Amino acid sequence: MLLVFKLILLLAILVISSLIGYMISNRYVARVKELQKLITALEIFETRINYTYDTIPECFHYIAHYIEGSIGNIFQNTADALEKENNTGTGDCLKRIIDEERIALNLTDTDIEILKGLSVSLGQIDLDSQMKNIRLVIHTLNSQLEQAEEEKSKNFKLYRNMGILTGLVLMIVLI
Amino acid sequence: MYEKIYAEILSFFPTTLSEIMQIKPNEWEQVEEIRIRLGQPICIRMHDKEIFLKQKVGQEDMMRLLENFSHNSIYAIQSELNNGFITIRGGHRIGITGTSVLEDEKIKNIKYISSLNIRIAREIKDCSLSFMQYIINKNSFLNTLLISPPGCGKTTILRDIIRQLSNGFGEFKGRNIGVVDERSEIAAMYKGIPQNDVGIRTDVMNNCAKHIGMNMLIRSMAPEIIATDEIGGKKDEEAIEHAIYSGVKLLFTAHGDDINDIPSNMLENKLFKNIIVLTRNKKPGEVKKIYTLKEEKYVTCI
Repeated sequence: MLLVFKLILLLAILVISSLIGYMISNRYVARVKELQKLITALEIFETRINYTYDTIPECFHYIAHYIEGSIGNIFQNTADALEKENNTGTGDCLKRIIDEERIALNLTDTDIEILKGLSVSLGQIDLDSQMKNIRLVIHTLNSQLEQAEEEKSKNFKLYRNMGILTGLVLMIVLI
Repeated sequence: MYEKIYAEILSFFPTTLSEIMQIKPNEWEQVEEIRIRLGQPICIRMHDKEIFLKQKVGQEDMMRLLENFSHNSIYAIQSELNNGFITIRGGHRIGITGTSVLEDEKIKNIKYISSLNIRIAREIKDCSLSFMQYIINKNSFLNTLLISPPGCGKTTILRDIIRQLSNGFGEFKGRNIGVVDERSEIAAMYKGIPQNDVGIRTDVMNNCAKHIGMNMLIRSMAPEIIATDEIGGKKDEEAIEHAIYSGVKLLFTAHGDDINDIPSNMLENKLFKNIIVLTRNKKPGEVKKIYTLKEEKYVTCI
């Protein structure tokens, strides 16, 4: 009976350890995906304001329609908030929503700071300046994406295997 | 009426200017303008009186209002802003003054916004009924020009005439009408849908310079009548000439006190069968004079 219990415990340790390794490695994949979605979203934003002169809530609703998940939620929630609130500037509103969504995102603090750079004078400047700011954010996010892809290729397998190996080591030690 | 004004205008006001909500709902029926000046109390101008609120307007309130009117997207109203006014949903026009930023002798931006003047647009159905006998003859429309100083109801009457001509009126069968709505005041288009009733056979070219819009409509929509507000520029005259050669009838308005205030070419070329001059002695939309073309001369028939 004790042996069965011990076996179950050891298996549980292996599973939990592997899962932790998988979750850590998965964050690298998720970060790359989120950065890609973010860049696509901002490219849509740039195109919409340049060719259709859509307002920011209209652009953000449009983006949210095509971009799913937490990144889409940032744009959807900002658009909803802008339509309801009359006392908050667009930039402040976007920053607040990013902070609210932060927990659901796999982005790093640097990624978040770059994204918040979009809020600088958002909706308060002319088209050229608005486009320049969006392009700057896209450019910087592209650099982050390159770095995120490098980190992913380095660390994804490492953390996944490390989780399994740590589990196995713990099992051997405890046997 | 209060509900409409609230939805279209007051919902843009920040809570720091909430005193405006204290105006009684029935008084909103009378409101013609809301004048907002930096450092001054808001002035609500009605048909026969003015109300000054106690609260003074700050720079932050001005910027907040402008951002709210632009749906948080100043770039989307940049070209209108540079003309000194924007038009919002419902066709309400907001005049803006401040310090202009120039580039190549053109206004690039207006900073330090000092005044906003919100002119409430109203749709008054059937307000043109008394004019119809002069502008239609059985089943044919006679080229017509409405003249008046600002605030006399030109656009309101023009909109109603368009609706009547588009839907049909008595013996007059409805016609295809092309409307060039440069300032979104006639049809008040919002996301492609006219917010004002301009009739079932009306095509609207929105937010487009009059001369460009007239030529585009003639080429693309084959209108029987072209209507637009506040003509007067050199390019407008050329577009009107093009419309006449294309066999299109004309329904226009122009700023002025009387017939002599319109460009002399238009009078010499006898473009209009009727010229209706409006005033607002007792109320907006009153007829001051109606000129009609008889034996190559304009003579007053009222």
